Amino acid sequence: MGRTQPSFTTAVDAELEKLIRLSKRVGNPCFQNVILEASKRVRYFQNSMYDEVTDPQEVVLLAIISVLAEGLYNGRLRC
Amino acid sequence: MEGYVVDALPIHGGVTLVLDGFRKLKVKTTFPIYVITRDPEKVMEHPAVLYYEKEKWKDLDGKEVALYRFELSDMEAYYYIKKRLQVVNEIPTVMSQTLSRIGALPFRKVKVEGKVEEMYPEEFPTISYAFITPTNWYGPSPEGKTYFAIVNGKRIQGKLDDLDLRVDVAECYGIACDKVTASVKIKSKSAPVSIKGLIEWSLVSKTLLRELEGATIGKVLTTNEAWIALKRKVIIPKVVPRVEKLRTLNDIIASDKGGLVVFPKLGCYDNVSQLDFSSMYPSIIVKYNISAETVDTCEDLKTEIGHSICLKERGIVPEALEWLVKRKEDLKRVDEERSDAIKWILVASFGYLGYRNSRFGKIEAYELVTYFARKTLREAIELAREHKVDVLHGIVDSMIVKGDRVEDLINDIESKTGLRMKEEKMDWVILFPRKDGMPYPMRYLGKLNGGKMKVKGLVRENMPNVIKDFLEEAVDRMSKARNCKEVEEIRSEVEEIMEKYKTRIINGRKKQDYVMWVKGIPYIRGVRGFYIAERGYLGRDVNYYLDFLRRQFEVLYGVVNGVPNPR
Repeated sequence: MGRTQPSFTTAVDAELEKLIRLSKRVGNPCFQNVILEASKRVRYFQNSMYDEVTDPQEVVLLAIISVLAEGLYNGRLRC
Repeated sequence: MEGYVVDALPIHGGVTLVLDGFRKLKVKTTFPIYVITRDPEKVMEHPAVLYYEKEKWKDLDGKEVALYRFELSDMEAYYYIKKRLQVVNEIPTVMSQTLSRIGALPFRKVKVEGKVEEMYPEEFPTISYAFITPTNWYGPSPEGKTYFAIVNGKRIQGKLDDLDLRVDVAECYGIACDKVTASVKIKSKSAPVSIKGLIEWSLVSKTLLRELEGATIGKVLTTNEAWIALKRKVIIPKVVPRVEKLRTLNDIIASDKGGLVVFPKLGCYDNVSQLDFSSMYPSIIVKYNISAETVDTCEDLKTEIGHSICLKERGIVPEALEWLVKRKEDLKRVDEERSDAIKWILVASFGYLGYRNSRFGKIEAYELVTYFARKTLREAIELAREHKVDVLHGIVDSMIVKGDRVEDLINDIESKTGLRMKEEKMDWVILFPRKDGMPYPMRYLGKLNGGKMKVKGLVRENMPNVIKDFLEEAVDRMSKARNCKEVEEIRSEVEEIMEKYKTRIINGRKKQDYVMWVKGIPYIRGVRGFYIAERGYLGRDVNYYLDFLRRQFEVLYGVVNGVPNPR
């Protein structure tokens, strides 16, 4: 980039870290699993959203939604 | 007299050309200086000013400017006038301009019979050249007692006291410079190329090697562009006051992005291809005519990021780069080292567009290049999907793909994007993660079809020597594997190599094993922390090196048995 801008990947990781910390504190294993699964696929959402104007929260939320949607679709969304 | 111009020194009333073999000859000439002044007669009062001519030039925005070219009998007058008046066209250097006029450009073969005649401008000069550095137990050291040298491509080493070298051009460091006789000695270099690469830079930028000492790639690139500007009679100012147009923060976020990155799908894959766009950024600059003076001046080509390109006149930057792209491709068949030197100029060409002090750059032009690059790679990824080819990883101008119809895909991408692609087939590739297991771009190890290994992001400059040696041996062993299954099968053999290196670290027979170079300084990790090796060998922290070794083994084999869980 022409100007120094904060790394988008670092910002996404910071959002994820926050959610992982939160899920541990909440102590809900189902929620924790969803967040962990979302963290595995978050980069692939970054890949597809690179050309768009987006913020890190949006990317993380979409990854979480995709985990929930997949669970719902497969009927595995039970804890 | 006939020979290659190795150097040129200004004298009163001309220049002394230094030809290969330490031969010298004097040529009468004058030195040009371009001045913007209202009172040219006053400049004429200087005794070294011989005459002047008024010329019509244009500035970078196309406005006509009256310029005076004074011809000087010596260089002292040049520096005297430069300090006192508004001087332009200082790039190419005055020596380059002078040598160009008499047809005796650096490293060109010349024949002097009354006048200088340029003979074979494109061939590499048959001169002697060498790289020499003194060495110590930990590696290169300015005061080492031994030396390492590459003389005309041959590697030699020995005791510094025994060294007595005579070459036309030498790149030397520390006390080794005293042992070398050369017409040009390069003692400091901030360029990432060898001495042969520097000679190539001198050839293409038509600038004396002496004047490239300590110069960055930017100087070579700007000089190339400046030659085009000079030919077109476009003034090259000392400072270009270019103000960026007013934009909102959201506009900047939308347009000022880098190239597209598709994070890798981690793991080991058989039968893949790496597809690279050849010189993608320079080719985009040439294709879309991107230059400071063509961007946002008319709306021949509008883009989604709000910038437009004028196609009416060829830009200075595209014209300078087109020739370099062709030269790089031509040289690739002849000499890889020279081709790499040109590649560095092309690599810098894009970044320099966005550099605030660049004479031919503009931030909007820079943003357009990344915009077209993202668009091109995205198009290539979509075409891959249409051809049922899986994109495992993509970064800026390169993709690692797996599929049956790769040839068709390449043809399709080339015809739709207008850019050339090259393919490297691999028997297998391992795409590595980051420390925490997350996908990480450009860290892979692959075996090319011919048996050669391609390693990216695995071996770092600042690693201890023993770790570099381990990785080299491990990768060499892994090159015997024909597919991912075999990579896994030889895991125990790589483990054996690791055990051998563990013993080597614990035994500590070679103290240079523990040296790691960080920003040109040799460090060793001792029990009390890092210390500089130049102070002498004061022991090592065995556990630090053993941990380092174990981590590297884990990196190599971490993803082969399935993708590790992030975090």
